[in-house]
Amino acid sequence: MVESSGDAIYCNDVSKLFRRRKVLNNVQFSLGKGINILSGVNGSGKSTLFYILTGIMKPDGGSVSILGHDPWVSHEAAMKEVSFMLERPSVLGSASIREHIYWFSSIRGTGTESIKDYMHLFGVEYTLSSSFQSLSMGEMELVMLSCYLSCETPVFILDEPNSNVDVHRRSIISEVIRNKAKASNSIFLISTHIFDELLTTSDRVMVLKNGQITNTDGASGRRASILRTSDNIALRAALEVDFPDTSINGGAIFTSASIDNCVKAALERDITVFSYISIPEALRSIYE
Amino acid sequence: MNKRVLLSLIAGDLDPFFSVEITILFGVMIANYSMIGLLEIQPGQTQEGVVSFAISLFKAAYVPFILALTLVIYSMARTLEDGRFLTYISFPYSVRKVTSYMFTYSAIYPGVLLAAAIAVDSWAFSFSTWPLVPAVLIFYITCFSILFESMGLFLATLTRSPVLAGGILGSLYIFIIPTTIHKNIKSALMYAIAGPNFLKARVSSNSLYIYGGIFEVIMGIALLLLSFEIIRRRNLRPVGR
Repeated sequence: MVESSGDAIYCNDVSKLFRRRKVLNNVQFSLGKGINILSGVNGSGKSTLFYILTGIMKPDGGSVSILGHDPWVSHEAAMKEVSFMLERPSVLGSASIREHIYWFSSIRGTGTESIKDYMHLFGVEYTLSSSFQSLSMGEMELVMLSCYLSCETPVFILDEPNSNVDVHRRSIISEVIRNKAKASNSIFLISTHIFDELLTTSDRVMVLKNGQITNTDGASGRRASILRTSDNIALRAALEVDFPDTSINGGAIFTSASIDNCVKAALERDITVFSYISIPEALRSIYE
Repeated sequence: MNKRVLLSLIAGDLDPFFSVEITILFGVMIANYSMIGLLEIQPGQTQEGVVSFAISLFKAAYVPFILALTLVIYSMARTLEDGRFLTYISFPYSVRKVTSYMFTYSAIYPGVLLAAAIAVDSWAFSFSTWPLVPAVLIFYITCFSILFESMGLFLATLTRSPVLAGGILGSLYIFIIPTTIHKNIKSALMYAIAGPNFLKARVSSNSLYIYGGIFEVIMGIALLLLSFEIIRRRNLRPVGR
C-alpha cells in the first residue's frame, strides 16, 4: 500500500479489465516532482492508466490520488491541478490554429502569448494563420503541446506528446520540458513507446508490461545500449566475451556495454554502426 | 472554468451541418406556407380556424424539424465518441456538466429557433390571437425536443454510434410513427410518444396536450439521468482506438 499525501501522484493497486483482458493488474507507484516517463509497447495500458489517473475512467480495483484528490470522485477539483494532453487531443472551435489558441487560453486561463512563445520554440509559429487540416501530424502535435505547456499547473500528464515529431524537434521538446519542469517545479508524467530524447531528461522511468509496472529506474542509473550495425552477429560475438548479457532482438543488438566498448569492437572488425541509442536498463525488459 | 466558453464550443460542435441555416430555411418555408394560409383566412375567423391554420404551419415544418433534431443527435453522438468529449472533461469539466450542456443546447436550440420563426410569422401576419399560437407551439416544440434529444443521447451512449443513434430516431419519427399513429389519442403517454404527430389525430381531451407535454419532459429527464449513468459506467475511450 502506497501512502498518499497532497503533493504527489499515488496509484494504489489499480486494476482495469476490458472484457476478459486485464490491462492493468495491481499497478502501484508514487510520483514526486520532476520528469517521470512511462514507457511500454503499444497496447500495454499507458493511456488507460492516464485515463484512470485523470478520473476519466474508473478503476476496477484500487485507488488513485492526485495532489490529495481522488480524480474519479472529485474530477473537476483534481483536474484543475492537471494539464492532461490526450494522445489525440481534439481541435477546439473551427479548424484554425489562431481560433484554437484563443479557445484554449479562454478555458485554461493561459495567455495566448505564452502559447505563441512555445510555438516559436518548437518552430511552428508560422502555422498561426493556417488551418489544422493543412498541418502535418507532427505540426499538430507541436501546436497542441505548446498549448498544454503554457498552463501553470502543478501536474502535467502528456500522453505520447512527440510520437509524430521529427528527431530534431524531439530534442527541442525534451529541452523545453526539462526547462519547464525546472522552472515550474511541477510533476511531469509523460508516456512514450519509443526510444527518444525524453528518456535522457527523465528523473524516473517506469515500464508498463503485462499490466504491471515491472521496473523503475532513474535516467542516471544503469544504462543499456541498442545498436543496429552492418554485421550484428559478428559484433554480438565480440561483445559477448566481456558482456554476456548481449543479445540480438528485432534486428538490433542489446547490450550493457558502453558506447566506447561498442564503437571499439565495431571499429576493430570493420563493422559499420547505423544507429546507437542508450536507454535505461529498465527499458530492456520491454523488448525481450 | 469558463462555462460560457464551454457552451460556445459545444454550440460550434453541434452545428457542423449548419442546422442554423436549415432552421432558417424552415422559417422561410413556414412564411411561404402561412402566406398561402393567410389567403384562406377571412375576417371573423373562428378560434377553430386559427388553430387549424397553426396546425397546417406545424405540419409543413415537421420533417425538416425532425431532420434538424436528428442531425444534432448525430453531432452529439460524434462528439461523445471521437475524443472531443474527453478533451472537454480533461480541461476540466465534469462529465455531467458537459453532457448537460450538450443536452440543453441540443434540446433548446432547434426548438427555440423554429418556435421563434413561427412566432415572428404569426406576428407578421397579424393574427388576432397571435400570442396564444406561438406560446402553445413553443410549449409543444420544447417538450418534444427534450424527449427527442434525450432519446437520442440515450441511444448515442448505448450504441456508441452516431449513425445508429440518429438513424433510428430519424426513421422512427419520419417513417414509422406518422404512418402508424392512431387516429384517436386517449392517453398522455400516447401523446408524448407521438410528438407533433398528435396534430394528425383527434385528441379526446384538451388536457391531454398539457399532460402529454409534461410527460414528455419527465420521460426526457429520466432518459437523461439514465444516459449519465451509462456514461459513468462505460469507458470513455474514443471508438476505434
